[in-house]
Order: sequence, then C-alpha cells, then structure tokens
Amino acid sequence: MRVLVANNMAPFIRGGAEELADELVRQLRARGHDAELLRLPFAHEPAEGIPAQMLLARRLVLENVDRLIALKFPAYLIPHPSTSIWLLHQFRQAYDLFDAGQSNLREDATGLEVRDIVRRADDEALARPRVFTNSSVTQDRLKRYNGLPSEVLLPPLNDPERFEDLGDEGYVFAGGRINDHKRQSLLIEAMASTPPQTRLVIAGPADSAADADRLRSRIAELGLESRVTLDVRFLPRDVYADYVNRSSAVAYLPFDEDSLGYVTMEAAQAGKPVITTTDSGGLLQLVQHGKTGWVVPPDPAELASALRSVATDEPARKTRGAAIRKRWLSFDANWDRTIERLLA
Amino acid sequence: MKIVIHSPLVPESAIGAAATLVGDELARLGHHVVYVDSAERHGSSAREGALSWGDVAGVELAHQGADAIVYHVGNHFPYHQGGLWWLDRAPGIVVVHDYFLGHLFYGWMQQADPEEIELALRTFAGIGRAEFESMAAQGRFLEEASARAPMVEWVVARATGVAVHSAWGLDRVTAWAPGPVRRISLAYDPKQVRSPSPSKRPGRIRLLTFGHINPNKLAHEVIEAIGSDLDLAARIEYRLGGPIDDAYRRELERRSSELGISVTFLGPVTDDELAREIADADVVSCLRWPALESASASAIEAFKSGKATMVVDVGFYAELPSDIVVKVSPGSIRDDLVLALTALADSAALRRELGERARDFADYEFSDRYYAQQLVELIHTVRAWAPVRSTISDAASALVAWGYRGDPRIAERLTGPLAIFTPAPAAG
Amino acid sequence: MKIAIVSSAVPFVSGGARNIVDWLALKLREAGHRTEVVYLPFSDDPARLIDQHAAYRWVDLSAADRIICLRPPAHLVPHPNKVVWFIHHIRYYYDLWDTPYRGFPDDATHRDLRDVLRLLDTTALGEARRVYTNSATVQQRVSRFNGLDADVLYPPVLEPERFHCADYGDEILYVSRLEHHKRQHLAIQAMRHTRTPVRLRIAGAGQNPAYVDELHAIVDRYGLADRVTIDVGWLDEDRKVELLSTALATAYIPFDEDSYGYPSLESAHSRKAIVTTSDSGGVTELVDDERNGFVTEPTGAALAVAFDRLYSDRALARRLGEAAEARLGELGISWANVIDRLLA
Repeated sequence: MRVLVANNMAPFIRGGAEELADELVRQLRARGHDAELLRLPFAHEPAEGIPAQMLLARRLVLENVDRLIALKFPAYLIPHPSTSIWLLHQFRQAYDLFDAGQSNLREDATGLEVRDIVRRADDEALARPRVFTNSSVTQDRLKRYNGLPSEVLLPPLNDPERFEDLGDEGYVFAGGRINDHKRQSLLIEAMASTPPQTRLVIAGPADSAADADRLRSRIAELGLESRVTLDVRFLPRDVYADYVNRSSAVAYLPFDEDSLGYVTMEAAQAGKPVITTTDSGGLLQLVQHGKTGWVVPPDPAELASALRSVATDEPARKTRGAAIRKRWLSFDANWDRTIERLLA
Repeated sequence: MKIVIHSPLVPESAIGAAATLVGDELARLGHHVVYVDSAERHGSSAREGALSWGDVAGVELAHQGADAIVYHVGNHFPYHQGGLWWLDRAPGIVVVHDYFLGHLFYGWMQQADPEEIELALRTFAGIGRAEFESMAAQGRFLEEASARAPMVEWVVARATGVAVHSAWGLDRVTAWAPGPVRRISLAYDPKQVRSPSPSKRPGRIRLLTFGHINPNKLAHEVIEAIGSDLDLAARIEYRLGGPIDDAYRRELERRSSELGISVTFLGPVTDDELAREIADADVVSCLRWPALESASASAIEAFKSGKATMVVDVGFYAELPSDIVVKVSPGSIRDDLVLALTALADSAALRRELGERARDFADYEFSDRYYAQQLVELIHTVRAWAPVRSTISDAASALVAWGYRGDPRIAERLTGPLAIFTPAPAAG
Repeated sequence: MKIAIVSSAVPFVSGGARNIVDWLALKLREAGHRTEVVYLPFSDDPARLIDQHAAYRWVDLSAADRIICLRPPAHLVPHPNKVVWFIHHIRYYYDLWDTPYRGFPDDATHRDLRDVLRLLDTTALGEARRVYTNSATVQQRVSRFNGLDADVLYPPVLEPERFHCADYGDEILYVSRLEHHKRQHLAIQAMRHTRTPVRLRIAGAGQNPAYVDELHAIVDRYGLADRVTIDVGWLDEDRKVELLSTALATAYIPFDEDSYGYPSLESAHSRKAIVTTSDSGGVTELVDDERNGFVTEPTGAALAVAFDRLYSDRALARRLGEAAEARLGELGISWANVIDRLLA
C-alpha cells in the first residue's frame, strides 16, 4: 500500500513525535509498503491564526495515496477516504491546558472562539472509525471532552532488544530530556536526604544550557558531586541502554505526561522498577506503587524515601522489576501489531 | 445568455430608465432579458412582462438557468426594497447607482432583525445603531452619514461582481467587493427628446429641477440665489418636476413667496410630461450636495436633450469636461449660482453652445451599446471567478459549522492572505 | 538565517524539483543556516486547482526569516521575504494549453480557470522580492505570460568535485532515462554514418520497455553491435563518474527541454565536450557550437560528423571539454552563486 503518514511540523523545532513519525515510516517500509512522511507546517501562535491553518489542512488534496495515517492536530483534518488517526494528542491548548489556565489561548473573545472552533472540528474529525490513541490518558481526554471512543495503541519501543537486565551497579538512572517539565531538580533535592551510598545518574539532552546549569549549580550547592552524575548530551543509543540496563531502578517524574513515556517503557523492557510521582500522568498505567515501582507525591522528602527503599530493599526491587516487565509485555506494544491495526 | 435584471421600473426612476435602456440593448444583442421590478409599488405603468419582486415563485423560476442576475441599486428605499430582498437570496452583480446608500439602509432597518442591523453597522461603518439613528434624527444625516456610514459596502459585500459609474467612492467598493469591480460610464438615453413647445413665454428663462425633490438637489439654494437678485427674480421661472415631501415643499413655498419669485411645483410627473418639461427648459439644475450618486442619470438626460446644465463640482460631476456644464464650487454654492444664473439668463448663445457640447459628449460617453458591452464583459469575468467564490464560500461554511462567529482577528488571518483572489478593478 | 524551502510534491512521485530542494537544503545547512524543507501535497485535478491555491495562502511560515519557493504553487505561500526559484509553471495552463498534452477540454470553464490562474500566479510572483528561473526558457515564459522580469539561476549538481577527467577515450557517452523524447534512437542512428572507430554508450533506466526494444532493434538492423553499447538500468553514481572520466565526449539530445539537464553539467564537470542538437532546448544555453561542444542539426548524419571530428582530433576534444568546464563558471553554475543570489 502507499501509506502517507501526516504529522505537524513546528518550523525549526524538532518535536517529540517526529521520532515516532520517522520510525513509523521505517516500520511501514520494512513491511513492504511505500511510505512517506508529510510534515505540515503549523504555527500555534498567534491563536487567531489557527482556524486558517485548519482550513489549509482541510483543503489539501492527496493524490496517489492509499491510506493516510494522521498523528496530530491539525494534520488529521487533511481529507482522505481511507484514514487512520493515531492520536498522539489533540490540541491541548483548547482542552485541558485551557482549563488549567496554561493555554496560549487567552480567555478573551478571540481565544474562546478559537477554542470552540478547535473543539467542534475535533468533534467532527475524530468521530470516524479507526481512531487510535497513544495512551489511556489521551483516550480519556477524547472521551471526556468530545464524547468520542478510541482504541489505545501504545507506541512500541523502536529497539526493545537493546534493553535487558544486566545487573545492578547501584545507581538510580534518570533518563529523558532535561527541562523544568521533567523535574530532575526534584530528584536532586531528594538526594540531599538520602544515605551516602545512594547514587543518581541524570543523563540526556537539555532543552537549553540554562536548564543544565541550574541542575549543575544545585548539585554543587548541596555538595552532591560525588553521588550525582550529570551527563548532559544527546546519548548514543548504546550508551543510553547501558545506563538503563545496569541501573537498580529508573526515576522518571514528568508533570502530567500524555503517554507512558519512552523512559518508562525502556525501563520496563529491561525489568527495572520505576520511581515516579502521583502527578506524572500516563506513566501510572504502567507504574503502580508497591507492584511495579514507587509512586509518591512530588515532594523531595517522599522521593528521598523511595530512593532509600531502592537502595536498601533488594527483594522489593527485584520483585517490582520483574513485575513491571511482565506488565509491560502484557500490553503487547509491538510494531507488527501497531502496523496491522493502523492499516486495518 | 439569460439575464435577469432587478431594477425599479416606476417611471420617475432615472435608475430604472438607465437599467431598461441597457437591458433593451442586451436584448437587441440577442440575450434573453427578464425584468423584475424592485420598487415597492409595482404599477401598471411598469414594463409589460416584468415581474414584481413580491412574486417569489415567478422570480425563482426566472432565476433558474440564468447566466447572470443584475441588481441596479440606488438610495431610495421604496424603489430598491425588492432588490435588497432578492440579493440576499440570489447572489448577483450589483450596479451601484448611488454612492450613498444611507437612506436605503435606513429604510431596510425599519423591519430588519436588530442583531443583523447592529452587525451590519459595526462591520461596515464601525458605529452602533444608536449613533446611526442619532445622525438620522439630527437633520444633517446626509452630511454626516455620507462621510462615515455611506453603507455602500453593506450592499457590495454580497455581490458576485460590481459595476460603478465613476471613481467616486471606488476605494470603499473595492475594499468590500468579493469579486470583480468594473467602472462603466452610465448609459442613459432619454426615451423622448422633444422640441420646445410653442407657447413658451418669451423673455422668461425656465429653470428646471427634476426627480425626487429632496434637499440634496439644493432647490432651496437655487431659490435663495434667484431671490438675491431682482433681475434674476424677474426673469427666471423655476419649475420643480417630481414628488416632494410636504414639509420641504411648504418651506420652499414660504421662502419663494417671501422673496417674490416664481416657483412652480409640478409634483409627480409622467414620462411624457417630464420629457416636455425638459424640452421646454432653458437651463437644467442638476445640483447635488453632498454628492451621493456615483453617476447621474438626470444629468445625462439633460445632456442628451441638449440642455445647458448646472452642477456642483464634485464626484461624478467633477469628472465631466468643464466646457459642457456650468460647475459651481461646493465651497461657494450660492455666490457661484448667482453668477451662473446671470450668465445663463443673459446669453441664449451660451445656453445653446453648452447644450450642443453636452449632447455630443453624452452621446459618445453614455451610450447604451457601450454599457451593454461592458456589462457583458463583467458578467463573463464574474463567471470566470466562480471557482474562487465557491472556494471561499465553502471555507466560510466550514468555519461557521465549526463555530466561527466572526471574530475580527480570526477573520483577518483568513481573508488577508486571500486578497489576491479578488481581481483588481477594471476601467471600462 | 532561518530558511524554509517550500515546494509542492505529489506523494510517491519523485523527480520534479526534489533533487534541487534536497540539495539546496544540504548546501544551506553547510553554509550555516537553519533550514527547514516543506513539501506540500498538490494534485493536477482542474476541479481542485483554486481550492489548493487558496490552501497554500494559509500556510504560516512566519517563523522563517526567508522562504524559497520552488515547484508551483509553492510561490502562493505568503511571506514578507519570499524568493522564488521558479522551475516551471503548471504548464497545461500556459505554454502547453494549445497542445495535446493539456488533458482537459478547451471550454469556457477551463479557459476561465486558465485566466484566473495566470492572474493569481502573476500576483503571487509579484509578492516575491526576487524571482529566479532555472533556465532562459522559463525566464521567457514568465516574461511573456506574467509580465515579470526574472533572473536566470542555474541549478548545479551536488558535489561536483566527484567528477574528474582521466582521459579522452573512444566512447561518446549518453547518460539519461531511456525515453522517446530523450532521442537515444537518434544517437544510435548517427552511428550508421560515422567513419571513424568512435563508439557510443547509452546508459540509463528504461521504464519504457517498448522503447528499449526499439533501440536494440536499430542496433541489430544496422549491425552496430560492435560499436554501440546499451546499459539498461539506473546507473550507479560511482560508475557514472568513472564512465564520464574516460569518455571522449558526451551526447545529450532531448527534444525541446526547458533546462540543460544534469547530464550536461556532469559532462562539463568531467571536462568533456557536449554534443547536442539545435532543437534540444535548454542545453543550448550551456553549449555553444565549436566552443564547448557541438550544436548540430537533429539528424543522424550531422551528429556523426561531430562524433567523428572528436574522435579524429583529441586535442579538439580536450579543448572543447575544458571550455565546457569554464562555461560553468561563466554562467555562475555553482552552489556558492546560488546561495548568494537566493539570500540576497
């Protein structure tokens, strides 16, 4: 089949979903399909410019395409008789972020009108069959805001074979992008009140130099240089996998994440229990306190106690590690199934 | 082509005369022309075979299969009520006869939905209903509204294409017309050009103002000018041909009696009577202030009848050559009128020369054949832009279905980039 | 600068401007600019022509400092700093209107569409700060149909430094897709009239099997198998560089093409003279008869004369070949010049 994958493009910014889109195209081609990626430019600022860009999507004509797989708003407004939507997320600025007062849509006449337009367009566009969501969080939101059903289709790991339990070298690994949203700083605060043998490795690309510097200075201020390793860079895959595979546990505490998070999935694949917070969102599908990891309030003292448990309670660590892997595998998130569902 | 023409068809309407003149020429060129009378009262003196705008089934049938629907629109609500009604329901080309459509809007307002009224005033004039009504109440409606709320945009925004008769107010039109705009010199042919009656009193100069006698035609200024000079008062006989509001008439009567000048109020006149009046006139007054019309059928009627004519030097009249009319300056109307009337009263030769030059000019410039050709071209251009119109209206419908309520910031982002889809105005 | 390159593309159809777009992106990035490539889908369907032109008007690339627009209707995208590198019109509505290639009827509806399109193109091109074309042919069309003065900016090959001259051998090389309008059959016909031992090698992808058969048939009919080689199949880049390096000269004789074609450039970079015909179109902007190649009558006999002259006079072959390379400099066919002009 000739499959076109349609994603957004914020010009000059490489977004999170771009990796997934690229991987999807690769996986389609590996199974003998012709696959291409359409990156639709989308500027979400200023808000009043959004309806025009919605009309743009609606008016594009796709010739020569057997199936369209659309991933985001407004790309899923591009018309095609045979479409699957793999909803990575709706335009959250018009939904939960609006309600939380964190939207770029102001609560003025324009903002409210744009919000309404987005919602009504979604009501229409997402009411079709073959709507999948990347997590139960997204599924819930679609149900709650638009009253629409969808099937959860978790994004698979791209290289699951890299992740396995290679033993415990006595550190907790905090992977993922380094920025305020991912809250590595909370872990650093927590480390200040953990016993001296607990170690933490924070490794990943920082959104900005300032993000990395903030962490670095805090580590220095707290005198934790010998116990907290900060490795700021885009990690080669084998290096990253190694960090995961040799850790005692993986800590990941983003605020209200849409989906499970690759860090979580990779940890689970390697059989490593996960430390997270009660407000981390989609992770909680996989990470359950006492069963597959530690889920504590987003507070340094609470996190410190989780870190202490990881360091001292080896049976708990081992049991939860095995359990998280088992639970993750039970989700059956793999590319064969994903492609099969998207092309059905 | 099948062309449906909406226009007032009452005899006093100069717009109607222009519309049927061109329509008849179109018929002569082989097109199938159907007339719809847009006037409030569809009298028996209207054209045979013309439909009344109230005959909904009949008009809908006429519209079926039409290649073009043309609406002749002017300021007098009773004449154009039907055109407005149908324009909403059957998009077509609008021919703008009057630049100022404030009275038309005012008339429409009396029975329209309050929200629609408010939306229209805000969108096209940037004012609210209260402000508009206070302009109307204060007796300076023409002056104020023609500058701030002429409402011509309110009509052209619904047109598939627009014809204008002069460059006056063109910028307002092009800003809002969603389709091609074409400037065409008005066609006008008086149905009857007569020779003067034998029973005219010698030595007396007949001055004529005709049409709907409203303050815009400056009859009161003419009376003051005549009355200010004993000689003029003695020699000029001022005749007013056409309907006039009672209060205004009483005012003029009072003043002329005070000044001791001869003014005759003819009231509504038939075609025949009007033609005789024009034939018997020595001078025709086509004064308009403020300038409301985009062109003047009355003036052209006077020209084609070979009459010396007085005009105010503004708008359409300013575009006329200076050797075919007597122009008075808007800043000094009364003084200029005295001078003009004196010169015209004094010299029969002057009157004759002006009349001849005016006739030559008008025969060439305001010909029905030329107008019909231009209108046909406009119809073709409008049709060529149909895919653009359908794209835009489809986008508009989609947006409205999504809950778009007209927020101006959103609108600007939608329509700004589409400006290239509106063809630039063409001069005929 | 942040630069967005914008072009239209039909999904799963390669060719067109894709090479230029991708190479330009590479070169801009090498020059240190942040570059985003935007491909927007486009369909030829006349009923959707205006719709798509409207859609392109709603593209928001204000995040870019400058946009460079290539294949139409990319030039419809609004931007205060727009540069157009105009490859060709939607030719059915322009120079191909009065030809059998139009593909839709010459009736009132389509004539109207044609007239509206020409107005839209003229206005949109008028918005650009500069309009460049890839050949003089297209420059003339822009002048004739849109009344605009465009400058010619020739597209270079990527990595011209790969090409080199090893030797002037015995073989005239013709590298191009095997298609009727490329007229490989004419080159083979020429070999009937040659008097020297000069050889001919035809190489290229043969998507039209009937034509390939025809070529072989001509070789057989006239007993040319010992002097004519036909390599059917897309030529590997390294192999092409090698064949060019040892060729006597090249032939490039398509019928009436807009631009000179990459094979001509590759020949010039390899310092090999180009033999072409007077009705080949854009190639004649590059090749001057007896200065850097030959421009002959489009007959086998005339081509044979050129082939023989090159074979008999290697000094001539060298001189013309070196001039071919020099001509590239004269015409500013280099990425440095391209970037200079596009960013001016």
